[in-house]
Amino acid sequence: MTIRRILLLSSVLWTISLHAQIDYDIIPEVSNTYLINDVHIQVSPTDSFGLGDILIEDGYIINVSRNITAPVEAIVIEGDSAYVYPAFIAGLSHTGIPSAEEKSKPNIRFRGYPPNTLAGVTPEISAYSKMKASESSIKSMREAGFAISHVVPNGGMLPGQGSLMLLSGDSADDMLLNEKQSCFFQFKGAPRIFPATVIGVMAKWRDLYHKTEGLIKHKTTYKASTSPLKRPKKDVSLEALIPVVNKEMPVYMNTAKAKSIFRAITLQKELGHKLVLTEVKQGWPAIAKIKQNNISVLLSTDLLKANEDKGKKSEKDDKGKDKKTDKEETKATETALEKTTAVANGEEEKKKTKEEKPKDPETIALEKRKKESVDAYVGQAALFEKEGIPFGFSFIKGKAKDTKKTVNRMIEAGLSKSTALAALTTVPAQLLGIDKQVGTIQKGKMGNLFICDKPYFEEASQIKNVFIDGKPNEIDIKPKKEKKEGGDSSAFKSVKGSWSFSATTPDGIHTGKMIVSGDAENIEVKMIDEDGEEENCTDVALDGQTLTFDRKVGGTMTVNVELTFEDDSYSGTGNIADYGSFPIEGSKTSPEK
Amino acid sequence: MHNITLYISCFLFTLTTLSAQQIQRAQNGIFLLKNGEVYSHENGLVKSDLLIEDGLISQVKPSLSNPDAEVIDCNGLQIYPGMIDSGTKLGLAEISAVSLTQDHDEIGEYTPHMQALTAINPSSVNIPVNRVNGITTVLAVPSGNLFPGTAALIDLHGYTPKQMDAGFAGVVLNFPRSGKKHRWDKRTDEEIKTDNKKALKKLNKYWSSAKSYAAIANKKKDVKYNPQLSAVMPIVNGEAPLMIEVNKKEDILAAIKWTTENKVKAIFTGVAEGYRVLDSLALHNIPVITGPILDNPSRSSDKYDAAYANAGMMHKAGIKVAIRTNETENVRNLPYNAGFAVAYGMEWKAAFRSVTLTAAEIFGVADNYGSLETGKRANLFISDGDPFETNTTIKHLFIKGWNIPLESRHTLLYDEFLERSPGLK
Amino acid sequence: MKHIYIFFLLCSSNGLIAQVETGDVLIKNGTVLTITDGIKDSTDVLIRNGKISQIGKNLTISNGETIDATGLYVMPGIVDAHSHIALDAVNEATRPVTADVWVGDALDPYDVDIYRALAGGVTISHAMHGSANAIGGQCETIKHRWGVLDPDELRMEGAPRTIKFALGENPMRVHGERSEIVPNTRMGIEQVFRQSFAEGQEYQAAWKKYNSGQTKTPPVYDHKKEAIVGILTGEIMIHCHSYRADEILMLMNVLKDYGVKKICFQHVNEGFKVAPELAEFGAYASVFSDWWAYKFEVYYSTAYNAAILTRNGVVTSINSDSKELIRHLYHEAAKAQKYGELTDNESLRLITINPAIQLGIDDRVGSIEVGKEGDIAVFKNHPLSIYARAQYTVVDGVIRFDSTHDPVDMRVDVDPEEGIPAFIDSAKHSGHNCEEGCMQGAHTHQH
Repeated sequence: MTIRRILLLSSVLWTISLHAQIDYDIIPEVSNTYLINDVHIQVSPTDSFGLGDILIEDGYIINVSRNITAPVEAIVIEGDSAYVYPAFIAGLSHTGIPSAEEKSKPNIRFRGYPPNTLAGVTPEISAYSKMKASESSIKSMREAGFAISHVVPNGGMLPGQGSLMLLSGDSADDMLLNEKQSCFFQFKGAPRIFPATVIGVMAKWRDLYHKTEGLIKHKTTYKASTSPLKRPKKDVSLEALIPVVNKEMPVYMNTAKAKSIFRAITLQKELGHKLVLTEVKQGWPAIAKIKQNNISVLLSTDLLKANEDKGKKSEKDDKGKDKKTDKEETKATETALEKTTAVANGEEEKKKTKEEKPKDPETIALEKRKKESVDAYVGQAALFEKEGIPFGFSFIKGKAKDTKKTVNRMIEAGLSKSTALAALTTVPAQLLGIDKQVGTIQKGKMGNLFICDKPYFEEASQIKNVFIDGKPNEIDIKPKKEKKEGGDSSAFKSVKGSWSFSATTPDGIHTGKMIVSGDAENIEVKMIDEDGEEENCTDVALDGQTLTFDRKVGGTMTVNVELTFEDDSYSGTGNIADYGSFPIEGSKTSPEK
Repeated sequence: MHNITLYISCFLFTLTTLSAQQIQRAQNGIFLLKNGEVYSHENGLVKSDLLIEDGLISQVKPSLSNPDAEVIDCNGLQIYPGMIDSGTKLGLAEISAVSLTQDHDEIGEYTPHMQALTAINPSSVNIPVNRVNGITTVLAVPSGNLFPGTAALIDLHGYTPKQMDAGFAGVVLNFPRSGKKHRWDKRTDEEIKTDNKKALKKLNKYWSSAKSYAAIANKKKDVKYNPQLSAVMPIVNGEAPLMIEVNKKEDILAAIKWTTENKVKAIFTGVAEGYRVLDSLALHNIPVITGPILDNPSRSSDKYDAAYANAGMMHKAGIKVAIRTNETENVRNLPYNAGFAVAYGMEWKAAFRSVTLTAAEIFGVADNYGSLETGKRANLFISDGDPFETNTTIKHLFIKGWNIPLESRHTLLYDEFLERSPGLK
Repeated sequence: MKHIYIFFLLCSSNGLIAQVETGDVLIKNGTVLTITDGIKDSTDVLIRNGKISQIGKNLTISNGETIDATGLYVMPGIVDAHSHIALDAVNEATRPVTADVWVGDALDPYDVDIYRALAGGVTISHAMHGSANAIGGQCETIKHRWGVLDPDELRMEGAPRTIKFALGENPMRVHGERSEIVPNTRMGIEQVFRQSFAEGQEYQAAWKKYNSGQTKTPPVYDHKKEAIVGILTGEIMIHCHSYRADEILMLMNVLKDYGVKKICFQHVNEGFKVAPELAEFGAYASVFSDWWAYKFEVYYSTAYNAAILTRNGVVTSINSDSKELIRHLYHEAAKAQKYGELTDNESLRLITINPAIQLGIDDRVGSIEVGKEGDIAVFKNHPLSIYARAQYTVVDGVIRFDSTHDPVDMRVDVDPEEGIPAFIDSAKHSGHNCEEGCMQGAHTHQH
């Protein structure tokens, strides 16, 4: 089935559902013809049209040229020399998938032989079936310029099938392009249940794979046989793997680190299935092998937070200092020690001593190695480009809304803009088999594009409108207040104080207190849960009335919280990479101090 | 006649089999070690005789004689002071994996009054197994929380703890750690920092209580029974050292700061990263008990021989260094720990001193232990060579003047099973 | 040995595709401890293309490195028949039988313990599954090619397949005591073996029937039973964690019943009690030099174990089971000599040709012979001396450890998020001496 047919089918379904029910809450669509006037058109990663107009009708780009006369029924969008790019395609993400449901602790006697669902083996479940159109991650990805994502479910080693989804629509049905696009695989064990470790996962994969081969054989024999035969045992998981074994469905393996990449290639060579490496963070050690085996790659968009800009700073520091001898080093430590001893009182002085404390040569050497390592991670994309390996991006840990920032860091490290654009458009389109329909702004392609006020890669550029399937999605541009020197003190005043807190998560409603303190430059957010456990949040930032911060839960999980304040209440979402988002709300419990 | 020989050899055979069931008794008396080479820390090996009387070394000089003495011919052999392992669980633990055989870890954060000497099991099978390698004295150390208890220096022969007491007891402090406890420690850097801060707070709170208690108790006789605080009074009063277990560089510096601030006389133990803070340790004149030497480096970026070389580097920097195994059942590897320190840079003499006289000095028992001098306790062994060298054989062993049989479960099993009878059938 | 950074290899990695690097080295004028052909004074060993090509005097090399071994001892690279270094997973402790898993899947070439083992002259280790299960996972024999980035390049290609078994307390504790499933006793462990072997035989028979056309539909594939069949056919050799004499006898009886001929008992602390039976069966023993009393099942053991086993004709080796011990196996061999009356060569055999025999690679490594692989350790002082110190360690003719060029910080993979590598209190500092290797991942950490 071609994508166009799927598209037609889904739009028909959509129309039916619309007409079946009278709903006066909805303003009916006026027209589905749009003319975007007077814009710089980036036709493809390498091809720029210059100023021109784009005509979209019934979801498709009808014309791209200069001075198009607007058809009568067209809604004209004045471009004002804005910039238009083909909408982005996420090679892989969990967009629209709700947080993993808290599984009731399985009380199974034989944890070595658990049911598939507990073992994380559910290749029969599609992302589409788990998708929720109301998930905030969809909006967030769309507003970052994306029109399509290859969405995979979350879970254990085989969470399910990836589905190709449009990033706008009232329901998963509206959004669906292709349900059974891929098989998603992770080197992820089930805690205290087989397979618990990477060796268990790989053994289980081999076992499932060969069992599926057997099932195919059995089914064929059974079908062809005229005499009565033992019927093949029904097994939904194995049946879902038949297209994988038949090399019709690719396996997208989550392989962040080099060792996972090598393991994935080992399995692929041994079993022979199609392989796409995804969420690749440390791919360079395997470059030769990736090339040799002609394996498709999706790079991670989760660049390290560490050294984002500190890197440059420390470099400067390092240059300023000469190498010291060991003796000098210990002497320095000694001096620092004496100092600290001397100023046991007085927080401020203590801080100063800490800052002044010179680094010993060993620390300098170690930090240098760390920096080299960070550079290698950030420079990975550039290296892949140099090596001629095409790649797209995946968004498992990386956030779609940070796409520009992330890609710009890669560009700083040597990646070309055209390859960056290709990674966001044509390469994933090709990988997902939809390059004839999407990825460029050309006549006959889907009306997937976005309008940006400045060239996209400019730091200040803002996406104003994202066309998906020929329909505009205007973006509320938050009025960006001029950042005052020393933070926004008036905005801070309105968020400072004690607030109640209520988060509706899949495992229940959590309530507590949130205390915002500090000053506009250094905002501190402390969360106090029902049990009185306190947690200081990190990465706190205030932009207008929007407060964002990271909160640690359960030791290792990080929730990205984004709250918008309005007078004495706020609402927003908490987002857990890998799982999804949940709503948070609260109101003021104490006046500002 | 033939029959009689057969009978006698049968009898002898039965006798040996029987005696193999239990360890022979140690012998007390006057012993004259003739014609050996006697080791001194100053002059090395010197041809001399050595007389043991009343558990003490009564004379060390050539051509000694004593009609009442049992003479042991040491021709071609070398006589060394018994080795001291400055940190073990010997006597406090029998089988590591069987918790009820463990007597070194009491419940509670502040238990400095737990006396290791109380729980020493003189009949531990571990003791003979380890002493036959020339280790005559060990420090038995409690473990666990902040103040786990009071370590005891014991001789490895005796039937009651009192008989084994070697005259030193030291309160142990496990200084708050800011590193990962083990490879599987999943705490984040932040969490570790917080935990460390909390622990330091606890320590300071306890110590200020201890100071207050001491201030009162120094003036008033009938102060309320408070064993947790009274146990550290001698330390607060500066009369006894505190044994501080500390390993990571930053923790060592913090511990130095703490001891300076609190005017605590300290012995640092562990000190795995001592080589990173040589000047500080030397400057503050803190004696160190380090080990095990046969250990992995503490950080993945460290040089492979960091733990081997640490003791030698500290010694070279002028720090007083003793060596420990931190072992229970394999304290017998003490000479090999010292030997590795030598292979990786420590002078042999310093290394041997670190498992004998330096250790005795740190524990304040150098009057009785650590060298072969007149008047000292007769803790010594006679070997056919360098005591660190692996294939050296210990020929005789004396602890407090007792001639200790060189037997243990290990040797007895060897005797029994080398040629098992019956064999296959 | 060059200081290898993972990112410096970027450029060179292009043309280098999972092909094992070999080299040419001439080791001049050393005291060569051949193990199988006596000691040769002032002798040269020439390695070409990774293989020992000549042993003699006045050898020359046109292209390649030269090591001056004057006054030094040249011995075969040390082989460790039991280790868990270079592995990301050791125990799949979820069931009593995990013959389907394979630690070869979890190789970690970036584990700095590989380099540290090289610094003790060890060139080969048997990376084993842990001892949580009666039938554990399959193991992998690896070469310590420190610096390679691809896990595949650690493998010793062509080394026979092996599998881990475990008797006694560990599987009893993990499964019986903690999960209340069989085995909870040594009786139960025997039945786990008998059941598995019987199932394996049935599985084998079912496939035979299918392959010969007697049945039309294929039996259901079972990755675990495939491995059991491998054991029954002799393709996969058992290496069994064991301590007590009774359990050792039990397993030999089970193996006799199922026609399995080859086995190497690991640890086998009470092997000395049944040395005649082990010798009669032809079983191998890989032991500790002096570990004992860390758990009840090793309380009645002796450091004289290796000597008694050797004297009874059992092929015996000394292993590490520890990332610490692996760094000084030469010293462990020396201790095995101390406790008993083994000759120097018998002691050195414990860490060279004997473990090679136990791993089925003695035709390739374990002694210095022409035609064998160029795995060599060069020591200052005799390797059985306490003062021995590895100077050079050569793997396949490539110098992988060079004490004259041994910078600090040998990590290959630097965690970009870790600043200064964490300080980790060693088990030895905190005074714990549990089986740190064997039970990795099987603990729910009590300490």
